[in-house]
This record gives sequence, structure tokens and C-alpha cells, in this order.
Amino acid sequence: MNCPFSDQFRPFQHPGSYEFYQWARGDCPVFYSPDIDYWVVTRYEDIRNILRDPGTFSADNALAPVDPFPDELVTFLQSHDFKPQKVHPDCDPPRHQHFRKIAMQYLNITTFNALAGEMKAMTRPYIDKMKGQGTVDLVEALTYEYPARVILRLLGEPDFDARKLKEWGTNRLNLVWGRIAEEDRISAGPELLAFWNFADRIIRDRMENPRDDYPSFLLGVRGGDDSVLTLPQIQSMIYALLFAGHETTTNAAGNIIIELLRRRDQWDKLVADPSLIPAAVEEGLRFSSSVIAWRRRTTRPVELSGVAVPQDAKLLICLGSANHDDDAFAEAESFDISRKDTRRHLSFGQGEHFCIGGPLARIELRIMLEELTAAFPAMRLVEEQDFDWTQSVSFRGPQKLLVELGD
Amino acid sequence: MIADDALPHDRPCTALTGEPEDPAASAIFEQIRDGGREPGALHRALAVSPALLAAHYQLAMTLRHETGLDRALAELAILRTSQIEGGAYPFDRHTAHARNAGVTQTQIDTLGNWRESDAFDETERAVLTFVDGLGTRERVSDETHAMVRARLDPAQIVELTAIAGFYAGAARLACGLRLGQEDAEACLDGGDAS
Repeated sequence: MNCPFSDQFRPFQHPGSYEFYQWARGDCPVFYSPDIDYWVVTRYEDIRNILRDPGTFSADNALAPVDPFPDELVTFLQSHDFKPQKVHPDCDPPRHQHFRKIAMQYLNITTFNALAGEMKAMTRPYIDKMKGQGTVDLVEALTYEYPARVILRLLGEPDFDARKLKEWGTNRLNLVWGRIAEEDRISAGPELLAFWNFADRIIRDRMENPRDDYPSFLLGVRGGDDSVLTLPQIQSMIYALLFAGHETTTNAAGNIIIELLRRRDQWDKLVADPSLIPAAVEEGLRFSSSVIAWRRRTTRPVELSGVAVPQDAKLLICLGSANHDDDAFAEAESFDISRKDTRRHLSFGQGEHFCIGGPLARIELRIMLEELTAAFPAMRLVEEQDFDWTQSVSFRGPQKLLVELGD
Repeated sequence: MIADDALPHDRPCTALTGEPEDPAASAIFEQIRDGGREPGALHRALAVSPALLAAHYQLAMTLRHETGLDRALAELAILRTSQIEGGAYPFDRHTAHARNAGVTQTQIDTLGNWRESDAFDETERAVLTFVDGLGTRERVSDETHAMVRARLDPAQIVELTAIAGFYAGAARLACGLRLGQEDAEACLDGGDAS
């Protein structure tokens, strides 16, 4: 489609994203971005239909680098046995169901609920350390590390350095979803490999010492049978969780807290009545999704909002835009924790790829807000700070979030 | 999207393999996923009759979330019903829910022979006697009824009976629709009270 303004689309830069989406939904809802070689889809209805039709819209590019890896990096990774397999996030039916079914026998609400008490206790050292500090960066003080601690617990690695996991996550994010200089991409290779090898190290250990954790569970399901799961597939499932399980929650926490503190009355409502926190979490997920866009590929020619899109087109589906679509939400551009239609948001996707960790993220976000509102009811945003957002096509969250604790 | 040929030959029912096109069935699938589970084999089997899937799921959720019966007692009743009905109703996949509700490992381990076990208190014994009665030709004696009435209020008795009946029915569904052991496990994972 001829869209004269598509060059105004800044896929890696998030200041102004929502203003751009609003304009695009009206005038140019589906357009091609030569910058990234993706078709950009912005309306709720189109995106929902795409997510619900995995036969027409393949997920096989969901985790692929947006900019293909430089040859030198590919050669390096291949020579070191870096071979992630397509598992539940990026394979299509009917194989997809096989992996998803296995993963969800462990990663389900029963497991998450059973961990909730422990997860609450895990915030305490962070909260205690913040007390009396006056002004802190909440990302640094809580939201950066905490979700990584939870994921390490599920993986049976509670003592592993959460900072290291975060560094690996950021490195992978920049390489796959970001746009960084060629030389930086090549020099990022060894750490990407170290991240992949960490998943292997966990598996090797659990083969000798099975415990009550996700890797041991997967090995148990495999039972030595490659037709059920191969070891590289298990490694890929763990590698997926090691990234998706915390990067997104860190960003979501920052995003939600910013929106609440920008509207003091809504923060105060949570202080007065913590039972409103789950609704605030949900509205935060809708209004300021940490996954601003996800990816699909067409398996046949399709029409989206009247725009003909060819077969094998790569699609960038803007979940953040869908969540602000006035055709789907009443007064979509207003943040309101009491709205009733919040839960239709697409931040966790929809259909058979619906985010497995979504219910876990909800619990973590709820716990963080419960602890923060209880410990620092008078917390305020430090005024006149410009938020520096993650630079990537898919992920959006503040790198820093300065608050006055007021305790 | 319905694909008979994708199913194993020993399964005569026509289960849904992809996403439901029917809005009612689709809404139920969304609810299940939103709640942190995956639609299981039984949901997929029922999805070919969307209204039935919706009704079945709503009853399951009501029995799970909107009843006043102590959750541990409810889980014990579910485990015991599964044990009595046997076969397609895999006991072991239910133990996680039971443990979360406060059922002890000893209780789970000795449930098959609960009358000889000292792991159950008087209320639990009353509930198990009642459930056992429902699952046998003896039904529920006046004495059993009196025992339960002394410990549960009328609403709880209705709920207990409905839970036991629902899970016996789910076992029949799994059997009648030829959901294999593996699929039945997945359906329990997928739906809690499916």
C-alpha cells in the first residue's frame, strides 16, 4: 500500500510510538516498512484475527533476528554448536501443540500459585534495602532483578547471579530485536553463546541430579525418548524461558508504575484499597504493554483492512496499538483502573500461542505493587525525567525510573 | 478446523485440533488460557458441541471457585471419585491441586485404603464415606447421611454431591470419548475441573 508517511515509523524508538499508532490506525492501518522489511499492522481486529489463525499466519519468525545476523556472527555461533530449535514460541500447528502441552503441564497456574508465597518473600530484601534511601531508581532497586530471581527459582537455580541473567537477556534483546552497530553484534556473539550454554549446563546437571523444577520435569517427560523431546529441544525450551520469563516483566513493572504515579489519584486508590491492584495491573498491561509488537509471517496472500499483503510477508503486529484502538476499547487513550473492558487487551497475545507466563507475570506484578504501595504509600515520580525506553521492535520499558520514596 | 485424520485410529470422537471457529467455544478457550491453563483433550472433544463445552466449563468453574465447601475436602472428594471411577481418570495428575489445597502427602498415599489409615479426621472420613457410597450400589445410607449432616451445612452437602457427580461424569466422558490415558492427563492439566 502506498503510505506516504510510513517513513515516519521508527520501529526501534519508542518515544511517540502511541501517537504514531493512533494516526496509523486511522489513515494507514497496514503498511510496508522498507526499513525493517516488515508489514506493519496496527488495528485490534486485524491483529486479533492474525493471532487466532496460526495456519495462515505462521509464528516461525517470532524469535528470528529482525536484522539478519552478520555472516561472521553466524559462522561463530554455528562453529560452537549454537542451534536453538523451533519449540512452542515459534513453531506452527500441529507440532506447536505438542511442545505447548508439555510445557504447560508444568508452567501452569497451579505451579505459579504454589510459588506465590515464596515470590512475595523474595521481594522483601529489595524493599528493605530501599527504605530510608530518599530517591531511588526503581528499575535498579527492584524491577530489574526481581523477575529474574523468580524465573531462576522455577528453573531450580535460585542461587545463580540474577544480574548475569539480566545481562544475557539484554544482549539477546539487542541482537535479535534491536538494531546495533555491526561490530557490536559480532562482539556480542560469545555472550549469546554463553547464555545458550547456560541452558545446556542446567540440563546436564539435572540429568544427574533431578529436582522439583522445570528442567527436571522436561527431562522426566522425555524419559530418554527423542521422539518425545530431544535434548536440544529441551535446551531451547529453557533458553526461551530464560529470556521471555523476566525481560518482559521487568519492563511491564516499570511501565505500570509510571502510569500509576503519573495519575496520583489512581496510586492513592491502591494504597487505600489493595484489592484494586489486580485491576491496576491489567489496565497497566493494556495501556503500556511491555511487548509492544510481535511477529508473524503470511503463508498465503491475505487482505488486512483492505490492504493486499503477499504470501511470505513478514508482519509486525503492533500489540500496543491494538490495545489503544477505539474500536476495541471505550476511551482507549485514557488510563483507568476501573474500566471493565481491560482484559480484552492483547499484551499476552491470543489463541494457541497465548503467553504461557502471562499468569505468572500477573502474580509478580501484583506482588510488586502490593509491596510498594504498602511500604511507600507517598511515593512520587521525580519530576521532569525523560524516560529512556528499550530500543527494540518488540519490547518497551523504562531503563531508569527515578522515584522519591517519601518514607 | 476439524481433522479426523489427525487423530489416532482408536479414538472415534471428532476432536478439534486447531482453534474453534465457533465464538462460544472460542471464548471458553480464551478463558482457560487467560486463567493459566491450556484447553485439554476433553475440552477439544467437547468443543465440537460448543454450547455443551460452555456449560460444562462454567459448571466446572463454579464448582471450583464459587463453592463454600472447604477446598481440601473438595479435592479429597475429587481424588477419591477418580480412584473409584478408575481408568481414564488419572489420580496422579490431581495430586498437585490437592497438595496446594492442603491435602497431605500421607493422605494422598493412603487414600486407596483410607478406612485403615489414621491420616484422616472425622470430617474427612465422613466425606470419604459419602463419596464411596455414591460410587457403589449401596449408595448413601441413613447413617452416612447423618454423619455428613452433622459436619457440613446443607449448601456444602449439595456442593460435595455435585463435585463427586461431576468428576464421575468427567470420567465417563473420557471413557466414552476414548480419551487415552495421556490425553486425559492433559485434559486435567488443561482444565482443572474438566
